[in-house]
Amino acid sequence: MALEHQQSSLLEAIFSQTRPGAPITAQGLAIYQRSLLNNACFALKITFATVHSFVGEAVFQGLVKNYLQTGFKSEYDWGEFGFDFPHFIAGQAINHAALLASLAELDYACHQCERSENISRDLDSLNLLSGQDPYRLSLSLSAGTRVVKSAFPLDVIINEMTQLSKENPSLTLKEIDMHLGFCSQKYRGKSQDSNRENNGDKGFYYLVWRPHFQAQYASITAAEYQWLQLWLSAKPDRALSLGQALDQVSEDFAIVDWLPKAIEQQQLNGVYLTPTA
Amino acid sequence: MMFPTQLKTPTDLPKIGVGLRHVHYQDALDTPANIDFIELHAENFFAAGGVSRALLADIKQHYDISLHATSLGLGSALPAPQAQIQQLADLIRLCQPIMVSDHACFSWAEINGQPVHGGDLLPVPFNDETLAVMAANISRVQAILKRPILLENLSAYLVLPGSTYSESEFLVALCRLTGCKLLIDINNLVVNAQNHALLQPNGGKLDVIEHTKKWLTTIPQDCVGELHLAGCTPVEEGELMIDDHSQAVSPEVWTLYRFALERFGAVATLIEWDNDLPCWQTLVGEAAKAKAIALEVFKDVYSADTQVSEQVPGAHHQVMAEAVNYGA
Repeated sequence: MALEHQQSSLLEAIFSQTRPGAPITAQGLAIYQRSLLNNACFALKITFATVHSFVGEAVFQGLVKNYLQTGFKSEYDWGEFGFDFPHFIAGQAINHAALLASLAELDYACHQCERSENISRDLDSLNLLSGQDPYRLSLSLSAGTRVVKSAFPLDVIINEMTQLSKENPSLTLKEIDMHLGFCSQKYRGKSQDSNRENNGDKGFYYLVWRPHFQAQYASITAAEYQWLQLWLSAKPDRALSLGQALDQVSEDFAIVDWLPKAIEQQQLNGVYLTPTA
Repeated sequence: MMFPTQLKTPTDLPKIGVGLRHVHYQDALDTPANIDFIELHAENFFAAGGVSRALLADIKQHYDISLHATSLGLGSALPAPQAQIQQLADLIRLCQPIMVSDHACFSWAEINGQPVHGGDLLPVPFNDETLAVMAANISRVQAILKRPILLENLSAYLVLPGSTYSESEFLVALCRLTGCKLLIDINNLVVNAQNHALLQPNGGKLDVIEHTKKWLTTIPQDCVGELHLAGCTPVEEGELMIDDHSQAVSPEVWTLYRFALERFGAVATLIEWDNDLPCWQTLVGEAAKAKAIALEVFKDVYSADTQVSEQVPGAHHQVMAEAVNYGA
């Protein structure tokens, strides 16, 4: 019982990141506090690489320090740490918090995609698409597939920033910050789909998948987002059929356009027959 | 400086390995060295899939693997979740390591009814309560992993009140209770001895070498399964030394390594270097130094062997000759 209390108290003291009391204890405790911050920064820099590259080390470290104080971590694998970091960033009083939070969400989706279980590709199974009842066929998406919705054109902004860095390799963080501000204003309230914008939908949609080991992201339409959401939210024990998915998806979705692209870009692992009832 | 390559150490000598870190992955695969094993941090390979799994398969083709876990928190009053141990068990099944180890520390605790992981190797007091907790945790882990583990002594920057055993007494008791063996990190002993005056109430300054030799002398030979060697950043007087694994192995640690080999025999040895990493060849050079010291310590045993097998020159002779040349 004494041990349990001692261990809980020490962890609370370390996570508090506040200056401890007596000088000798202070030095020792500070080492563990610094180690926690360093480990968390190191892990989150890997997971949120785009955000880190846009805000720089000092701002990122400040974010991580505050993040650690929002709660205790329960992940024993640092690679899994930070699932709510994007949400945390959104609530911070920093420049372009909304845009950075959205970039963080894309970063996290890519990171998790790269860690997801490998699924072997069965291209021969695509032959099932010709001649089988669509209500008896189901799709297997590429390993780690995810979709992200954002209020910002993240791909455009990342490309602009990358181009800017190429043109000016000694770009300062202040200049990056200015450009992010420009992007935040320029794209506020815009949509990739003018029809949907008229309907009040001002979203940008992204697919995250990995053809091999490295995650990729690509801009997709709202209809493709809805289509992929259907597959991603399907319960593993009750396979969604192609026919059912087509019945549910919006009329804007055209499988004849999506399927060849999905096959070519290795977004699909294969097609399989659903078990008969 | 030339290193013998692709030759393994004879069985009479300790197996010598290096800790493999991300920046050296490619070098380790492109230019395999005459090291006997590679130590991997288990948690770096916990992802369900992706590049780390592929890398693991590549590494396994070139080297024996030792899995070093850093997150079980074997001294935690709140035991590690079953899923975490199972994840380690799955990894073991995948890479068939020659050794599996973790630390004599705590990482898990319950705060406000929730399990919290400290993400670090945190010290424990050495008393009966901790002994019972840690023995139960080790036994549980060994039962799930279906193999004994090695338990590493810690570098600690806080001394928690309530100890009734010395560290070495406590570790030996754990070995006897659970059947685990010790992974003695010599640099951790040096760091603790160095920091003793700052951490212990009324603690005086210690003779680091003599103190550590005494510590090692209290450990029975049959309790030791591996040795870790490392170096760390020197500090000013009055500052705590941190075991940051950022330097070549220190002269003190080399001296104590020789002593440890003389005491414990041909125990597997690992060079750890985690920060400010040198090039792959420098790291392998540290392993060669360890091998040269082992050769000197066990030269009598080895020369008896070579006389018997003198008429059959082979790989063993070559690696010895090259290692001796390196030592010279």
